[in-house]
Amino acid sequence: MAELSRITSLFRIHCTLCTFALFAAGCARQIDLETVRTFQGALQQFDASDSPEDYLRAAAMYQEILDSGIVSGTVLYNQGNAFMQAGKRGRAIAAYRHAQRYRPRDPYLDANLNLALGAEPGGSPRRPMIEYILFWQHWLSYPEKFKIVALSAAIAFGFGVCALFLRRRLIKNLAIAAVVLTLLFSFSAGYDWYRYDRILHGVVIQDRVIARKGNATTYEPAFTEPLSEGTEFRLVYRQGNWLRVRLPSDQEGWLPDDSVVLY
Amino acid sequence: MSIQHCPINWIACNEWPRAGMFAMFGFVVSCLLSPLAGSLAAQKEAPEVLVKTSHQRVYEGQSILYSVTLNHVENPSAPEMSGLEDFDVQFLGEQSLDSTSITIINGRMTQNIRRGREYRYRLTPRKTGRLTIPGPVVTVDGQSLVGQEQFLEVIPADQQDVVVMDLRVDPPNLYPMQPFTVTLTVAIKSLPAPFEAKSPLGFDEAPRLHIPWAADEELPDGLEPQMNWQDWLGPMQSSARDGFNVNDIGRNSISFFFEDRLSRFKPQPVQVQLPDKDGKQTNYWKYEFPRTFIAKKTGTFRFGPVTLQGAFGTKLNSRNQVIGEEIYAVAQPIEVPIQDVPPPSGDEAMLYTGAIGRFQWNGNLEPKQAKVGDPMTLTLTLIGDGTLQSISAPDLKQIPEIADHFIIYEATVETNRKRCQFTYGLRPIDETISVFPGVSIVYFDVDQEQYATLRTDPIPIQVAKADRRSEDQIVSGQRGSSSRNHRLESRREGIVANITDPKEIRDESIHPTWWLAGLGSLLGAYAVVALVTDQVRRVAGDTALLRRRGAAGKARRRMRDALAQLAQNRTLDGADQLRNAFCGLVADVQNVPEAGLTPKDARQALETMGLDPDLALRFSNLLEKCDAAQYGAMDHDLKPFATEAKALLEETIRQLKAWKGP
Repeated sequence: MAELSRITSLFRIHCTLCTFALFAAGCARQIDLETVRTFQGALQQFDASDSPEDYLRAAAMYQEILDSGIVSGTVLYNQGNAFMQAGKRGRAIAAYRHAQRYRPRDPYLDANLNLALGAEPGGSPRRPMIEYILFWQHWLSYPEKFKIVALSAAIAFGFGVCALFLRRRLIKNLAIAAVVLTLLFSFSAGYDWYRYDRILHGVVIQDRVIARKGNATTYEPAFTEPLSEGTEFRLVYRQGNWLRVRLPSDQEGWLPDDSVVLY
Repeated sequence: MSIQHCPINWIACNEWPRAGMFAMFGFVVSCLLSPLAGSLAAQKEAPEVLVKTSHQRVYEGQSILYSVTLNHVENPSAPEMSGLEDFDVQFLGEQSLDSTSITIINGRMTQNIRRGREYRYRLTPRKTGRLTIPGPVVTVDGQSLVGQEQFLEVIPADQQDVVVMDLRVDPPNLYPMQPFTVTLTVAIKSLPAPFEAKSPLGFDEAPRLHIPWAADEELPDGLEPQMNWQDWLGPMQSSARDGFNVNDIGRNSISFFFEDRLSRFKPQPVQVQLPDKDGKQTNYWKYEFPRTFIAKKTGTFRFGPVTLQGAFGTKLNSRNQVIGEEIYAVAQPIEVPIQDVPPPSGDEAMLYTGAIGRFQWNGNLEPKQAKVGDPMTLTLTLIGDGTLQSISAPDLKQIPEIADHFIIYEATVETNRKRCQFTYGLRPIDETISVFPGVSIVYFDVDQEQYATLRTDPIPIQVAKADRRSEDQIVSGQRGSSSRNHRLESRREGIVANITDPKEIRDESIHPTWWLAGLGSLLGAYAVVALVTDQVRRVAGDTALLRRRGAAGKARRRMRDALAQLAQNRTLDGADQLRNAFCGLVADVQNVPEAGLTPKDARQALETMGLDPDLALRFSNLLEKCDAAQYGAMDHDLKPFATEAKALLEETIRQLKAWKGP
């Protein structure tokens, strides 16, 4: 039995390391001082702005932070504001939509996005059935879902190991519940990963852009009316400088890549 | 109903495609034969202008195709089409006729180059009679070339009262972006009795109606239909053999060789009484084709002429069958002037948004209960028919009742065909306002032909004071607290106010592979724990293994005890312990009962386990000595054997470790 207890101790250490490794995967990278300075500089530029060009400069400073590899809902939200004030409604919508993945419960973000979209307050787009089943999908942020997966997996592991030694029904049931929770949130996080990382989204950033039936201006217009700035779509695929896009109404057309922004 | 057709004088058959094919065939033949005349073709030929018309005689309202071909011209320019006041001219496109071929005959190479261009037009006569199409003028290298003039005989429509067609536009006075409807009315005299209740369109061949504005691609610049032609004519399509064919729609069918595949369109008919050519009130079937357009610019748009050609029942033969008479009818064109709106004056100019048409104006403010600084959304919606594409949002900052109580953010505009919505972000700056005032706009009412003012209803609202905050909260807020409350407070400045706390910046990037690796590690760890636990449990339940593993230690302990007792001259106990150490070792290793194990059994067991026979013999002898000492048969002390016994035990244990087990 002494041998058994030694093995158990070793694996307790291993488990702890695994759990830490799991959480370390989701831990945020430290924000350096230079990034904070750029952020504050962008805020000052925004406050001092009184022309669209000034606001665009602020947006460019936020873009500098994003280009350094940092993904931050706060930076994206502020960048959306700068674009909004600069009159770049399409780019603002893209920034707000991107920020929404990381700040889903921010009422100001919702309000500003609705303002950019010109939508009715409280109005929401048609959602697929899966998002009604995973009802928390628009309430939890993208990173939060991964953290819940890690937490529930660690709990499942703990209860699972305990169940190996203690053989109590309650512990076993708790372990099963934690496993179910892990699977559920893994699916939820995987769904987000699919729609955010596998599918590219985009917004039209110019007014009255003609979507074509093919990847050249010689093709006929795909729709009876040109697309207005702020029209959202999903990228189907890219061919040269042209993008085949699918609108929320499931209609498809080709757009030149300089008339859209992808995120 | 049986039908007999009268022979008709078919003039305006569509020969153009066939003529084009012949021209192409001729061209190909000439290309093939050109090597024979290579030396001649190599000479530069003089430029020439060839003119061709698709028909020499047409009915009033019909069109002809007119082509101008420039041959042997290096850099052709479009011909001047002057003197065509008697025609409506529509340019249909141009086509290059350039070609190059090289032939080698008996080693002599000849290059044939053709340079040319064809320009195609559709000409629609504006009057009847013999009309002249003047020769087109083309300038080539500074020299004017004139094509041959052509003549066209335009035959007036039959004077008849079987088919009466008419065009009208509603409303009569029009402004840009105002929808208007052009209605073609076709009245067809009822069939002779007793067939007057039957449709006059039930003949085998559908009457062919040509409506110029039914072809979307041929509409003039600045004129847009409210719906495309498919949506317009689609609901009128008739599955029965009853109706008009419009613009030969449906002709492109692989089975048209076998049956009439022209689609038929039939608006809901109305039976009316109209005067015939003698002034007598007669029953007619009236069909209407209304189509709505929007003119995007001022000017005059011409609709028509509309032509109708087909067989219509006019009398009965001796067998009481309806006899069809071929009729050609024309609806004279109408001109639709689009005039500009008069400029607004005074207050109208201040509130005029550029809207022209007929509208409703609604306003909504949400939420209706808010605190000072809270975001509110004002939605103003203009609904109706008219100019919605280019109107500007009302400037709320010019309305003191609103500007004094709210911070106003720039409006966003969302426009579709019938609706224009302005969305404003507002924030109340004090709690004194209880009614959001109405917002007025001015538009040009095309029905009244004057400017009209619309005003939204006042909206009762409740604005409360903002929450007071403790000094601690305010201080911590200024230091950049990351609490949610502070975040709301710090962003009170405006709906597009920024998050100012640098602590809110986090790198939230997701690396799914890392997460997967972490989850995989946990799963792997659990699998290892489960496997090891299972193994330990299995081992714990194997008593033979446990005895075998503990045999050496147990024998050494007994050996130590035996040596201690022998050292104290307790020979009997020492001999007993010594025997137990050796027998116990063999019994534990073999998992057999220790009691009753004789020296012979032990020797046999050791030999069975593959130990050295000499060792087994010494082992057996030592046990016998122990037995002898224990039972008094030995005349000397066991002390001298103690060292040998210890060495023998260690040697036995060493050899037993090499044993792989039963």
